[in-house]
Amino acid sequence: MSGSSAIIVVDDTVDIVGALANLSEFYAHESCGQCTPCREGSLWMSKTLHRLSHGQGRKGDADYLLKIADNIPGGRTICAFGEACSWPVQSFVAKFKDEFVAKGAEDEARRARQSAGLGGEKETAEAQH
Amino acid sequence: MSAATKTDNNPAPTAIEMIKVKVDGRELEVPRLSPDWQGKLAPTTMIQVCEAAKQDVPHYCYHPKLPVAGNCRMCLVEFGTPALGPDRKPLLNADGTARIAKSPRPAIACATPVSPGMEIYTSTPGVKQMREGVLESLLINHPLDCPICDQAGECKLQEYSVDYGQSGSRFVEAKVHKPKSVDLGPRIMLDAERCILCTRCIRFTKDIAGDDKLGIVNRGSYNTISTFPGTAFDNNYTLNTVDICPVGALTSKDFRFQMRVWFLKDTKSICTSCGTGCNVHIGSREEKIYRYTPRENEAVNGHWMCDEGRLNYKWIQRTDRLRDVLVHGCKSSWGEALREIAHKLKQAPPGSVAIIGSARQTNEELWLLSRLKSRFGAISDSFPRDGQPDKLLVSADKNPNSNGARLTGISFTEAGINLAKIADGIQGGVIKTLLVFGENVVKRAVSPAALSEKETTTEAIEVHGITADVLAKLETLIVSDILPNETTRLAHYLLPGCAHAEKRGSFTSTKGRVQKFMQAVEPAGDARPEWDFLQDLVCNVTGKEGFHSIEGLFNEMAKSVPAFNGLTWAGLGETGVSVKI
Repeated sequence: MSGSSAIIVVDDTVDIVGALANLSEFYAHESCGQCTPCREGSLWMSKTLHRLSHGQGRKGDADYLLKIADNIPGGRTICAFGEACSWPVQSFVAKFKDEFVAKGAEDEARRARQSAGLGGEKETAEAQH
Repeated sequence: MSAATKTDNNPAPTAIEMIKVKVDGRELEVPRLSPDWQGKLAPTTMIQVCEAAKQDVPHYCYHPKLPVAGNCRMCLVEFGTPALGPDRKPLLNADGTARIAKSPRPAIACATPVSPGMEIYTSTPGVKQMREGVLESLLINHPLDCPICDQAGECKLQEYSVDYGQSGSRFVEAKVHKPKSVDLGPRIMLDAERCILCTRCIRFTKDIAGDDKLGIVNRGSYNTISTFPGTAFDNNYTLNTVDICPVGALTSKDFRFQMRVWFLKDTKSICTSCGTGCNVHIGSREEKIYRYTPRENEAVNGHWMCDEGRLNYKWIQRTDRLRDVLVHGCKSSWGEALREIAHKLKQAPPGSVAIIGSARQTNEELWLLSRLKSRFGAISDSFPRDGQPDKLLVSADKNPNSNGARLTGISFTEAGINLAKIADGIQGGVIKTLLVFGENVVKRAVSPAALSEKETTTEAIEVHGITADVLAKLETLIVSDILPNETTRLAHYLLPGCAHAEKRGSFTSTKGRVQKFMQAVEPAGDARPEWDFLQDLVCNVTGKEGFHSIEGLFNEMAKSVPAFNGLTWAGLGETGVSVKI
């Protein structure tokens, strides 16, 4: 589910983490900020996904995202926007958890290689990107 | 309805239906309607019920005297209502009790009305988890700068974090940065990073102060409290927003970085800047006053006070305070001076004594002066002090105790009408002894800019003809005051008195509320409370033993002043008693 009961069809070449990062950025930008869970949660999720999609992920980010998303919906916010911004995170991570975990694990492994002095120039440049 | 036919001013309140609700399993009966923030009857809310049940529901944006916003989501609770069958009749459990249908979604206790049979759950795992979630959200972008924050010690974010929060943070992203040390107005500083956007300050400013200056700019997590560009947040009630700010976002320029709040001793007192008599707490430490904060009293000031009154305390600690008893300019002792004064007064022929009291003195002091007055058949009065009133709290009468002066017989319906007579009496040589308490009688009406710090800005003293030349004709001029002025310099006997923060006593407000105040700090130098030495003086003059406690003095006064009949010091309580004025 992509949020406000909308369906977006994408093919299997699309980076699912990047797609969710894009969606969450939209929600963080749209949140009015009136009530706490949505105001803080939407930007938090967006920042996490931005990090994850820019090579700074962690293996645990999938569960981390779910926990943030779980704090927003279920009648805790004034309007349905809170639900809408957390649903895509909940459903993307539920349906494609292995992709999120793999992405985070890959980033973690690369950082480990770099800090151990094994990282090539190419990978350093990638991480900085 | 028979109640409607009653014609008196206080018709019996219409009976409000009581309903039964349960809070965490405890059943209690509550009225279906309760007063809302304006005092109008509105459906009773869950938070009011929980308060009645003594069950704490944490909240940030909710304030009993502000309109409900419901945006902080801290007061979320779970609840259930009696389940109804298809025939709209309540379903029963096997044991005959009503079956409760638990709501799948939580509700904010501050804005949700209760209904008969409702059950509220404030401590379920779900509620605890929601509070943790909200606190986590509030804290992720908070600077966590408690060690340098003025609110530390009285901060709801700190308190609720300890009570309901999680021990650690899992936030690893970069915090949102917002403006810090924003100069919102002449008395207020904003740290937008500390702000939790509860909007209490906005609602207070709009709905209570009636000056719609504050608002929120930007969206989402970048929300920031702001004034309209180019305008200052400068009404006379801005400092109340510092009190109601649950965190350290709004700070008082006067108090910030001055003292940690946990060191402050709170003393229950009364503001003396006008006749309204707002109840205040004086925050002091080691004989120094750091701030006034309003003290709740529904009958007088509610939860608020004006900035002018709140900041009018610095004169108490001026270094040029009168500290010594002076007899003809030479330092003396209380015993000696009071004996000499009593001796002079006893020798004074009837009608040769005049007393100018002050409506800034307490009821007890004015009553003691009135006893001297009746003993010597003296003429007396006090000074009027008028200013600009406002719609909320500020009274046009800038004296805290005009009614006290009138009720004890020092002044009359219109304060100040005897002053010209006193001037004439001195000029004509009839009045030879003048007692002046707490008034600079030779001062003329002056421009606000030339007023001393003790004087509030808008008062004007009427021209009454008592000049320095007139005072020079007196045989004896006895003056008691707190700060030096033109009159104290002319005094033959100068008795240093105390500010209200340095003594106990009571005032009668413009609306006839008799309220007592307590001592916060020690008097300066040799100064003594006026009631204390007046008591000695009355005792010296009359030979009757006085009271050595304010309690006894007040109770004695209450017996002799008709308006105060039946009052006792203890009976005044913390919020005072209304009398007929």
